[in-house]
Amino acid sequence: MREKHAGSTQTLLSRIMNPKYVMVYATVIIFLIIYIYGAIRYGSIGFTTLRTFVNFFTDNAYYGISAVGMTMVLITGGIDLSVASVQSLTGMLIAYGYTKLGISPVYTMLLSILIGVGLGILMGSAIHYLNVPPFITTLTGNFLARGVCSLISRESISIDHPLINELAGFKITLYHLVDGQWEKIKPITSISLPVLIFILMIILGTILMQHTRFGRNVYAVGGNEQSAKLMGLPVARTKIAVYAINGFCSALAGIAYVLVVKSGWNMALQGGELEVISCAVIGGTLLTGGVGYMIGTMFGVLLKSVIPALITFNGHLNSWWGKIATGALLLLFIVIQKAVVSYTDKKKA
Amino acid sequence: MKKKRTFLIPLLLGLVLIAAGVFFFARVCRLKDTVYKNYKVSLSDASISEVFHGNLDEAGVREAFNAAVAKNEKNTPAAGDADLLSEMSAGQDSAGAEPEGAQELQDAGQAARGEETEALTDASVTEDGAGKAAASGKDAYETVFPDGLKDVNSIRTANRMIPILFGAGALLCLVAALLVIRAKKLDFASIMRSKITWAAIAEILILIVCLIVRPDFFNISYQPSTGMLYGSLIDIINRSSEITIIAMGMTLVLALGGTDLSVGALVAVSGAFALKLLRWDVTIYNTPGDYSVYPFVLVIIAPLLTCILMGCFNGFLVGQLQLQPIIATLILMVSGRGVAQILTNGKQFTTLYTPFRWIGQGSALFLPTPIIITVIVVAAVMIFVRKTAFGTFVESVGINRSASRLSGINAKKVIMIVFALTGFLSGIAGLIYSSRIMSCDSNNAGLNYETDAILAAVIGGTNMAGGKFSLAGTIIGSIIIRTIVTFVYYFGISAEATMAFKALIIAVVIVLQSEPVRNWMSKRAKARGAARGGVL
Repeated sequence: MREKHAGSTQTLLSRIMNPKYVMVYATVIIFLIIYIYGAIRYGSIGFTTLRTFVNFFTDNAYYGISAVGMTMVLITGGIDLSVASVQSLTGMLIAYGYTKLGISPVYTMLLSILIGVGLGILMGSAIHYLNVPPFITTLTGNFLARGVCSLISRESISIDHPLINELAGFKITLYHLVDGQWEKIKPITSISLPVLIFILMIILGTILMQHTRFGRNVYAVGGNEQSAKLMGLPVARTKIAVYAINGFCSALAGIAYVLVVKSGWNMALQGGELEVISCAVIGGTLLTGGVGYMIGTMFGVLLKSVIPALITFNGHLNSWWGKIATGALLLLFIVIQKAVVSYTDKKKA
Repeated sequence: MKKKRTFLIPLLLGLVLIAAGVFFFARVCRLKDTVYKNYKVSLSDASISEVFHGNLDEAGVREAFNAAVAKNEKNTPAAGDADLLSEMSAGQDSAGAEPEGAQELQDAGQAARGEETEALTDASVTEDGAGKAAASGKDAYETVFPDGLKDVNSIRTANRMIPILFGAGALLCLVAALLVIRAKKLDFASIMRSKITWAAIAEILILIVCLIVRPDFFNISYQPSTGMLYGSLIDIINRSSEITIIAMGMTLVLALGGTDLSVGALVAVSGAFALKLLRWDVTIYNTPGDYSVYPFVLVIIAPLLTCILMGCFNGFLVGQLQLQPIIATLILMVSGRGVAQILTNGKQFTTLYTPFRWIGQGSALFLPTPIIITVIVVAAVMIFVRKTAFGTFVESVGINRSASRLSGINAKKVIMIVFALTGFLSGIAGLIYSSRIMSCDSNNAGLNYETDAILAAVIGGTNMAGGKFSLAGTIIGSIIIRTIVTFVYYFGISAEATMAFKALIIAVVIVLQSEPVRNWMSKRAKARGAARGGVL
């Protein structure tokens, strides 16, 4: 009711052009520019097919799932460096549990989600009650998860369990209407389970952040923790819950990763936490807190996948040029983002 | 206003005494080594002190010494012998390539065992020691002490002086510390509230645990062939030097309220560039050897300049464009390793160039070179930061950028200098790292150095939100991290699993250092101080 009231005082255009969405628009526009460039350059060799587009989701689905939680953490003004290790630990638990100990993956999946949430609550409490910087707390969490992972096993363990195989093989093949008949889209395009989870998490995250009291608390805490406290908002509960949700997302992302690689390795996804953070930041989330949208994060993930795709389509660039190109595009992106923001700020003033 | 520097006198005197103690210690160690080399046996500590502490005349000493040697030769392989061997080879090994945890220890053990059997066969074939000495008409005593009683007496004095010198030196340093406390009017409560105190306490606790678990943890031995002291403590400081050097810059970056994630990548770039200049083209100079394609000065300076430039790039992004430091430095973190790989064409070069080896594996003043380089770098940075206004500028920019701009500080310049300095220091660390392995490794050089450096600074009491920083604390933090790693290696646990222990110990340290705990401790200390009715 209240929102309808607020809407009536603003025109639709001014609501859309609200400066707080500018970052998200910048992300979308840059994604479109790169995509159109790729379409013009490599359209003839299949860059524009739906399959390539779905692959943008598939490539980084596990990073995307984790980025949903990370966006929330960043909005509170925190950071979580433990996500990649928790994903790796999840994979290791499932792999070691089934292959070496014969425990059904169902139990190890539940256990790893519990561990993710538990570690999140622990780190959130340390950050809130002990006032330890989030960077250091979660770095310790990162070391802990990675170390435990290495203590379990130092070698890659493959998983061959019917449930995992079935889940990994789960696909929704897309059809389209041709002359009144449903036919498979060519080249055959299908959506795998990790992509479904990713999209579901983005939707859930958007609802949670935009349409619930909890979401508003998260924005308030990130905007100014002191004011939020003085306003009587449950700061402690919100912060700890955010880290717990992030732990849940990491464990879920770990499960998605297991579905992709069907194995557990102690050094898997090393440095992945920064990939996840950069996804969120490219999506317009500010590390200082208070600003960020799930939809932006989704486009951040897509941008992360479109760059390697371009390099693959080019076919002449060495893999290590990929690193430099990623860095350069990151730079380009941030600078453009900065320019857009300072322009709108000036205009507002 | 002239500051009182009364504490400097006892401090310097104490350091001189400790240095003298180290010198005498090295002398005694050298004697032990000579005996070992000539007779393939080492005198255990007991027999040395038996000979030197007894108040004997020359004939008596000669008799006792020869008897000790003979006794040691009889029960070869002596226990002490194997100990010395394993210690030495462990030292040598760790001075070589980057340790691989359990692997390294196993290697060390095998090497020691190998040398031991070698020594045994040697002894059985040539009858060694006594036989050789008898052939030249000299007994053990004359071979070891060519100057007779004069040598014996100097060793005797050295033996007696060591504990006195060390003790007196430590005492004087303590006095200096007390004087500092008095001069700065620090009371017990504020000392307990200081993060450095807690970092130091944590380090001491870890060392005590090390001592309990492995009593030989503190052993230090001297090897004349390399002119270096070996031992776990020296190894810890030696190995922590890269992180210490980088953490000096990182501390300043953190004090600005930023973070530099690119240091690890810069380490890789610096090493790759240096190796590129040493080898230049693998197809022409296809075997690694003791040569350098470019002058050695260029090999050192060019990588450092590159790193300074890359640091300036970071500084430009953070200072001029006002980007968030984590993201700004993430760019170089991602692309820096790519640059390193392009420099070396994705290959791993190795070299055998002697001057380059000296940077990471050489020795100066009985100590490994990296320690000396670290001391020089730390001193230079400390003087630059604390003896000029620069440190204050950094703190003020870190606390409030716009306020410091209004008070006339050029924040952009300060940020630029700090990031350039961090780049330069990463470059030095990169040279040390690549000199240790005498090769470049674009993928693994400096891996996770950024997190280690940040941890070192934070354990040492630097505020991540900007503002207060402590370079001395950073050094302690860096040493704590390395102590944990060394300690865990002793158990033969894999390098990756070390992280779990690191995490546990760091968790304890940060909980001890956290604000509520420190406040509680200082409140208790204050209450106790008030009850006693005095300061300290």
